[in-house]
Formats: sequence, structure tokens, C-alpha cells
Amino acid sequence: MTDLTLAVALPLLAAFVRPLFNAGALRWLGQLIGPVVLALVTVILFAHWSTFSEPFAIALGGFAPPLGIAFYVDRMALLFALAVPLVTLLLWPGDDGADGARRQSLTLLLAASLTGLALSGDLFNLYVFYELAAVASYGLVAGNGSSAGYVAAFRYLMISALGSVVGLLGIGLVYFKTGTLNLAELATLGNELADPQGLAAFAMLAIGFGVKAEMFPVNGWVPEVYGAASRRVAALLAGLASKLAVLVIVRILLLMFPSDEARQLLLVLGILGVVSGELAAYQARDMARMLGWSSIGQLGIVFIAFSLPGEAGLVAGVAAALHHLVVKSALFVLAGPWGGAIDRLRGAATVSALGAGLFVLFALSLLGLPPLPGFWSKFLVIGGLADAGTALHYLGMAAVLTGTVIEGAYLLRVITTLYAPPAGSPAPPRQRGSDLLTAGLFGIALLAAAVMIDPLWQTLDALAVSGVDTAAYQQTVLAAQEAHP
Amino acid sequence: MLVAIAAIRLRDLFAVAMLFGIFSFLVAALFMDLDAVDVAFTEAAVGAGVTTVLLLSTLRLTNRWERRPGHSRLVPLLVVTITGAALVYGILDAPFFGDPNAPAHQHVAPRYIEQGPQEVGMPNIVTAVLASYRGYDTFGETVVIYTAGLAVLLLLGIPDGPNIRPGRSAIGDQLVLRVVVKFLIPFVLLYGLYVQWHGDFGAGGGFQAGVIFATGFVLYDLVFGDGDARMAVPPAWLHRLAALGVLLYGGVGVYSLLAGKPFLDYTALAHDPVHGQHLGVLLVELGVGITVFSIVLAIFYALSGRRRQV
Repeated sequence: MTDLTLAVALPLLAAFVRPLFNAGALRWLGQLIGPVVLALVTVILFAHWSTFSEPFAIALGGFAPPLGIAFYVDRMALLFALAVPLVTLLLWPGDDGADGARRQSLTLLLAASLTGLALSGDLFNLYVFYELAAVASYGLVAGNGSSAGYVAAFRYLMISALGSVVGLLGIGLVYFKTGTLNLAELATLGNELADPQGLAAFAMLAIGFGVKAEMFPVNGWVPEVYGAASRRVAALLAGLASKLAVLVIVRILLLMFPSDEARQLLLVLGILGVVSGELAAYQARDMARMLGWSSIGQLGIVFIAFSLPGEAGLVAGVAAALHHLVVKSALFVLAGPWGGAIDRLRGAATVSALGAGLFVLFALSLLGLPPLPGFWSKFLVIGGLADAGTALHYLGMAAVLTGTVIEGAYLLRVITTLYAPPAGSPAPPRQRGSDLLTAGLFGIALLAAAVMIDPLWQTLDALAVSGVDTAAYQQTVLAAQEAHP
Repeated sequence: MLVAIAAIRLRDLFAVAMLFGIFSFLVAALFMDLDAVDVAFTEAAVGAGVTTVLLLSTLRLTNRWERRPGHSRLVPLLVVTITGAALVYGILDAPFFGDPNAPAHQHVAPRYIEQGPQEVGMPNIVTAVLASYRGYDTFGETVVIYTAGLAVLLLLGIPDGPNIRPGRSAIGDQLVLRVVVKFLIPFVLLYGLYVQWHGDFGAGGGFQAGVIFATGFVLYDLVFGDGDARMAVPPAWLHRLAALGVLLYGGVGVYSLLAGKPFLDYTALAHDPVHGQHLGVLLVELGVGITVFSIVLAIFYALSGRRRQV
């Protein structure tokens, strides 16, 4: 079944074709092309997901790995790949003016590269897709035309370029020590990377890919970019792009560096992320910045979860990542009209009750109120930390719990502002219908997850079992058929 | 090394841009010394050639003199020193250059070298690896270039405002330059074509060729007047050309998919696998060349067409 390569190729081709239909009689075709292609990709991926039996690999260019580049497809890859076109479709940018076509092109390119990140099984190929995602997002961030957008995009560019260089050095170091870049082959060579140099390579790779994943030392761009970019772009970056970067780091950790030191490094970075992110979010007085800092904290929790060994860690991590994907995307969409200073929102609940209600729903799930999925994801993380039981893990537990308390403080502050009696003039901003629709769809997904927690749990379990099975990964990829003699 | 330090110390950005050009040439020479001809070629064409021109065009939009930074210089220095020390430490117990027992020469590399000529059918192994074995990566990189161009255009656009004065050169009317450049340009373009079509036998390929070709037009624009190149290649075409290049690459991939082979399997293009490989690499390199050419030129237009804002 080679047609999975189309999941990456179709959005790319659509992105190249899109600018050609910018004006004239075929304008409507240009408008349609993005959503149609994304829907098609969703269908392709969903067909694979529903008929999935066991992992398989695709050799690109007809050269068997490790000579050529391979895609590796398991449940984890499919799930994250499926999230890409779905969420992109929900957050599809409208066509406003001449730049609309370019913006849609960049969005398609971003979607294609993120799908590639989920599927690719080659270290350098991952880097290429990562770079593509980065370049596309610079354009999207700066593309809203405000000078704040330029400044934020430039800062983002600098930090991201630094990350790319460090990541590339890490890749170089790995190639230097092993002579291969294929993840499966690297997994068979685990011992060669289990020394201080290997750990240094992991740290470099983690920092390189961590820029987009909002990992602790390289996340200075987050609040500024999310504050300046259009909210849909912020939702796309915070919700979707960060998760795919996390997935890459997790794959690298599982396959290449199955050592305790590497896990501890991830745990420490996660703890620092939680503490710094939540504290800064508490200080923030601007809605988008607050959400940005809070997303750093949330991703810290995701890193803590993935640093746990075995299937438990993977289940907790994927659950936390998916939950954050849904909730943070929706919150950023709501923050569209409600951006700017939080004080401005006094009494906003009176003019758009539905928006306020959705905000409360997402905030409560983020905090982890029991029937909502957020509770289960935090429950899994804390349970896993308690099981692991070293001093560092208890420290992580303390960080997650403290983070939750701080989170509660600032989210409740927003909620009380929303439901406070209106201050008179100026009237509190009203939500737009299209944003409410998008956020509402995310809300339905969240509630559905709360109702169907049991089958969801089983799916995640099965996913984790195949996810930690690195032996299967090696065999599947290295046994992939060579297409010609 | 000395050049790099000078580039950091100087506050005159014009001199810094020039120093960067020299630096690139030195690095290219270093790559030559290490027998990496293709890399050296790219570094010379991109680093020393186009980047310098683009930097200078940017300078025209901003100030020539860098302002003194307000913060202390100790912290950055410390960070850089620590990183450098860590790098040196990492390289210390690396194998010596050319050591046949180094891990990098043990796994896939021998296979590329031994089987490459038979499987892909071309003498230049670098091109074979880039365009065929790891063709998907190169596709990705071409798309990155396209995306970067798109992002720059989204930011700047290609204005055709009052700054466009056909026939009036930015550097004044210089007869000697005009004559020399007029002689040079056909050769630059010819060389670009040679590099494009000869990438499978000698050093070079679509990427370098695209840059060289674009340099020809940039030179024309610089010497013969702002906006003259636009008459030869209108900006509106560049968009389409860039898209055409990547479409060509992607099209080859989709074609092989339709023929029942994996994505980007060039053996689908002809009956004989080696022929197919050859044809595929040529087409793909052409796609890369077109995209790189049009994006470099588009970025140059976008920068040179802007009026300096005070």
C-alpha cells in the first residue's frame, strides 16, 4: 500500500498549484483546492487507520532501507498523521485579499511537512521536513503584516535557526559515530550511542527539534509569536506543530537512545518547562501571551510523561499530547476576538454566552476536572511518576501538581473576568460565528472523548504496545522490499 | 579564521558583507582540499556569489553602520566559548580524516560507491546519492527553497514602484563595466547550462546551476540598470516557474507511483532501469534548477525593488 506517500505529496503539489489559480475565471478552483486535498488526505489516512493490522514500511525511491529513505507506519504514526489534515482543515485560513493564496499555500506546506514528520523513518529526512515546517511557519507568523509580527517572526527565525544548527550538528555527530541515518538501523546499533558523546548527540537533537516543541531552553519565541501571529496560526503552531516535534523527539529517544540518562534529561527539561511556563503565565496580563506561556507548561507535562519508561509512559504522553492538541487549539481560536488585555473582557459572557461556556469547558479540562479527558491524562502522568519512584520523579510530581494549582489561579481569574458584570463602555468584544463553530467542534471532540474514555483507553494501550516495540520497527523497516534487482 | 573575527569586530556592514564573501571562498577552498568538490562548488556559488549580492541589496534598505549593542558582551562570549569547547571535545576522539575504518565509511557508503554506477548509471556518486538514493530529501529541500521564496514574497512582495528606472544603473554609467559584463553574461549563462546538464558526470547539478543562472541575470540588472532584468524575465513568470520546477520534481514522483512503483522510483520512467534512473535524475535536477533560479531571482527583485524607508 504505497498510497500513504500521497498523504505528504498531495498537499505539497496542491501548495505549488494554489498560487496559479489566484485570479480570473478559475479563482473558485484555487479556493477549493486546499480544503479538498486536505479532506482527501484525511480519507486516505483514515482508511489506513481503520484497516490497520500491523506496522509496515514504505521504501521511497525504490531503494531498500538503509540505502534509501523509508516511511514507517504504525498506529502512533497514523494517529498523529491523521490529526494533521483534520486540525488543519478546522483551522483553515480564509482568503482575504491577495495574500490569501500565499497564506493558504504555506498552510498546505506546513500540513505536508508535519505529516512527513509523523511518518518518516530517517533522521535526515526528519530534519528536512522539520526545516520545511519551520520556514512555512516563519512566513505564516510574519504574514499578518503588523510590525509586531515582523519582530516576533525575526526572533522566532533566530532561535529556530540556532536550533537547526544545533540539531544538524547532532545529526552529524550521530552519522560520525555510526555511519547511518536510518532510525531502524540506528536502533540496532544502540550500544554505539550509549556513551557521553551519544548523550551529547541526544541533547543536541532534543534542542534542535525542541524549538518547535517549545522545550525549556529554546522557547523564548513562544509568547511573542503567539501574541503577534493571527490566532489561527497560533493555534496551528501551539496545537499541532508542537505535537509532531514532540513525536520526533520521542521516536529518537525510544529508538536511538534507550538509556536512563537520556530519559532523565528529558524529565529535567520537562520539569523546568512546567515551572517556568506556569509561573510566567500567571504573570501575563495578555490573553494570547498567557495561553502561550501556559502551553509551554503543558508541553513540559508532556515531556515528563514521555520520559517515563515503558508503555505507561507512552500512553500518558500520547494522552497528554492529544488532550493539549484539542484544548489549546480551541482556546487560541477563542482568543481571536478576545485577544489583548484580559481586563478588556469584563462581562464578555453577557454578549457571547456560548463562547464563555466553551472557554470554561476547555479551562476545566486543562485543569483536570474528573469527568473530562484532562483529568485522565494528568492522572496517568502522576500515576506513572509515582510508580517510577525516584527522587527526580517525585520532584516531577511536585512540579505537575504545583503547576496545576498555578494554572487554576490564572484560568479562574479569566473566568471570573468573563462573568463579571460589564464595565459599561467600551462594550466587551463579541465572538465571531466562524470561530465559535471551530471551537464548538473541538468542544464536541472533547466531550466525545470524555464519554468514550473506555475504547479510547484501549486504543491508546494498543498504540503504546506497538510504539515501544523497537524490535518490530527494526525488522519491518530493514525487511522492506527492494523494488528492483 | 582571521576574516571571521574581523567580520564580527567591524561595525561597517558593507565591509562585513564583503568579508563574508571572502570567508565563503576560503571555506570553499577548504572543501576542495578535503576532496568535496560538489560542496565546494555550492559554497562558492551560493556563499560567495549570491549571498553577497543579496546582503548588499538588503544594506541598501537599511543603514550601513551597525549600532553598538546595549548589553554586555561577556555572556554571549561565554556561551560561544562553552559551545566551542564542547564541540572540540566531541571531535577529539573522532577518527582521522580518510580513515577507512571510521564508522561513516562502513555502512551505506561502500554500497553507494560499489553499486551506484551499476544501479543509477552515472559517474558522479554525489549526484547519484542526492538525486536518486536520497531523492526524497532533495525533493524536500527544493520545497524548502520554494517555501522560503513564498515567505519572502508574502513579506515584501515585488513592488514596481518609483524605484524602477529602466536604463539607469544603480552604480552609475560605467562604460568599461558594461562592455566587460556584456561579454561575460553569455558565458555565465552557458556555464550555468553546462553545470545543469553535466551534473551526472562532473561536479555540479541543478542547485548550483540555478544559482549561477540567476547570477547572470542579477549581474545584468546591476550593471545595466534597475529593473532591466525584469523586462527579460517578468516577476509574474517567476512565481509560475518556481511552481513549475517543484511540480516537475513531484510529478516524476507521482508518475512512478501511478506506474505501480514506489514514490520517486525512477526505474518506472523507462524500460531499462538504468535508463530510467538517468532520465529521472535529469528531470529532477532540471526541476531543482528551475526552482532555485526563479526563487533567487525573485528574492533579488523583492529586495532591489524596494525603496529605502527612513
